[in-house]
Amino acid sequence: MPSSISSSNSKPDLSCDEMQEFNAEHGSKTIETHDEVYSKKQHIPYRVIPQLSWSKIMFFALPLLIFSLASWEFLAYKMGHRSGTYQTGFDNMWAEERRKLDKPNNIKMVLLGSSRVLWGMDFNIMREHLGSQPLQLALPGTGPALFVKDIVDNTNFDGLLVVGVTPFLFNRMDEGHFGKGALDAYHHQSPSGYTGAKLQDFLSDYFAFLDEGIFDA
Amino acid sequence: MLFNSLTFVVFFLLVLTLHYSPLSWRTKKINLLIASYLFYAAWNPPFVILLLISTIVDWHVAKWIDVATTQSKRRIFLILSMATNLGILGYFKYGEFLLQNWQLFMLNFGIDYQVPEWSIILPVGISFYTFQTMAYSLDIYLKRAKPATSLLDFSLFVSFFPQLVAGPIVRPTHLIPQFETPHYANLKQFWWGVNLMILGLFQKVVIADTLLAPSVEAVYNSHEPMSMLDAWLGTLAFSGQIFSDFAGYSTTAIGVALCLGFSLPTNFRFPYAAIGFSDFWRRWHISLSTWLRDYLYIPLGGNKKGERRTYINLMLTMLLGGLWHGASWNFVIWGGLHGIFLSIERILRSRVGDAEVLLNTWLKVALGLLTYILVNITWVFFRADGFENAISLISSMFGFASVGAKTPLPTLYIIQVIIVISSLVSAHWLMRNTTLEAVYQKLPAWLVSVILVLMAFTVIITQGSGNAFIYFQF
Repeated sequence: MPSSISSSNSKPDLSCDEMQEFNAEHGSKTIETHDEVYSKKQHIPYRVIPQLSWSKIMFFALPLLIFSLASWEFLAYKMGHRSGTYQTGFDNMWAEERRKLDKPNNIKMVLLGSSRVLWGMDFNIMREHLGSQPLQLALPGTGPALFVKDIVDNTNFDGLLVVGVTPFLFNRMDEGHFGKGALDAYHHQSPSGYTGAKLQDFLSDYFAFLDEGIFDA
Repeated sequence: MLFNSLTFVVFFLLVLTLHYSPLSWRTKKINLLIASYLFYAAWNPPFVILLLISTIVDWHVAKWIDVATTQSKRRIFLILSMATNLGILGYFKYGEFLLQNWQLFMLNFGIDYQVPEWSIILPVGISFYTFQTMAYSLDIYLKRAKPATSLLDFSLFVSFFPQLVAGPIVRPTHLIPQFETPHYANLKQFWWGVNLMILGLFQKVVIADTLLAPSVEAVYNSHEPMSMLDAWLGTLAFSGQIFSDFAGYSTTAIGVALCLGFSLPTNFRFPYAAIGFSDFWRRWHISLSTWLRDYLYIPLGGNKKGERRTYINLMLTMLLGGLWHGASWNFVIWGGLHGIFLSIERILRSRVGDAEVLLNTWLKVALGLLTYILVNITWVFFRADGFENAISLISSMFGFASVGAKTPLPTLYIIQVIIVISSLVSAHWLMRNTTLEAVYQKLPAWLVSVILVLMAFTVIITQGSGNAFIYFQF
């Protein structure tokens, strides 16, 4: 006689003694076949809950957790970390910048290449002369070819592409050291990945320990 | 959506608020269903359609099977359900693998068949929810249960977000009845659920991603012969990583469901304290091993059709179980090795039986360690990129690496792996005959607080990089 897929009146909150009985019947040692299980009086095998005093546990745990995190934040601050900087890493930062080319914009210059382009540009001077902020799409340890191709193939950008020349990287046609993650974040970022990055940005405005870089205090 | 993401924190707070608001039970179930589809869509929205197809087909087919008057009609309806579920699974998961092997097969006849470019994305967790819906149709066909009475409850069973993408694979008779009547967590269940969530995230973010993953990647991404020590440490680290990653997901899923008042089955029982491979499979991914037993091994005849057929059934079950994990021959070899070890164990048991010497504690420990070592050897095929890399690593593990073998693990990694793995395996042995709940029951409140804070604090400060769970790909 098959049992129907229907509810029962099992008690959800079992004590440890009941748990022992339950384990003796359904535990690791007694693995029954599906038929054997279904031929018995049907019940939902509710989980066993240890009978702990959660008011006491939380009374200790919450202040201890807050104190630990405050201490960690203080330590991070002492080590030179600061809140309020863009914290979501190269991949998301790059993807966020790259998306600017997909929207209407007044970008007149895009910078591509490796770390020397990333660190060696004075944006204040360039902005003064161009009248708009250049778009920084250089990545450390990465050749420009793949990224030039991406911009030519996939955008309507008609401004100036400045390509950095790093001899041992210039002819690389692959993604280099950071390109794959950056391109993946741009092309394949999931909705949850996008919201996660936004939430991380929001929290990093308040917590120095989320800062991955170290700056002079 | 990943459990170890900020998006999930916000999502879950919203779900909890709605679940404990003064709405009708039906409205709350609709909320949970919408939340489950959003949870899945947060990774790739179009693939929600697959969930809908699976739900609609199995809902109707199960009803048709139930009312069919002849066995042949029942069989046709079951084939329809299997073809839909296995068709989706086959197309998305095994399409490229089949084409590549077809190409190799045709080359034997001198035909250079060109495989078309395959750029199909694998829907996350597809193997889990297709097995879950197939269990429903099979239960009805095998007259183990009657069809569900509510489409809403059945849809929620197929898509219930805590266990949707990486299990535990829940049986319909376990979950659907829970949706029929209002289910809420009392305070003890709720806080125990929170505790399980923190424990699961600690396993994933701190142990798997932070402490072990770098050593695994250093060894397995090297693709060069390496020293015996490094090869073993990299593999031991992977054994800890995959357990902490997958058991971490299951523990978090159980905790999430418990906070909402629902009960999911245990998926792991300290598997690295297993004595023998049959014991291992009673402790590792229990929801899959019992699924394979009940819907594959037993229908094939199990051990009821003679000794020879038993071993054939065992091997077939394990080979298909291996293939379930991924479209690669390495997974088939992994399953095959488990099948061989299970068969050897079965032969030995039939010869030695319940000999008294087997009751000796030290012999049990020795057999347990032997099991763990053999399990580690099988993990090499599970983790390595391709057969050649797996063989190269196993050669290194047995000291056959060429002169000048690499030593990719720095001292810090070596210390990390030794401490974490010895702690993990010791914990499994200490707890092999008990449960987490029973252990917590005996702890004083202050110690539970300290453990909880330690885990929560390390999860928050470690953060991780939001790595996906390994089993999502299956």
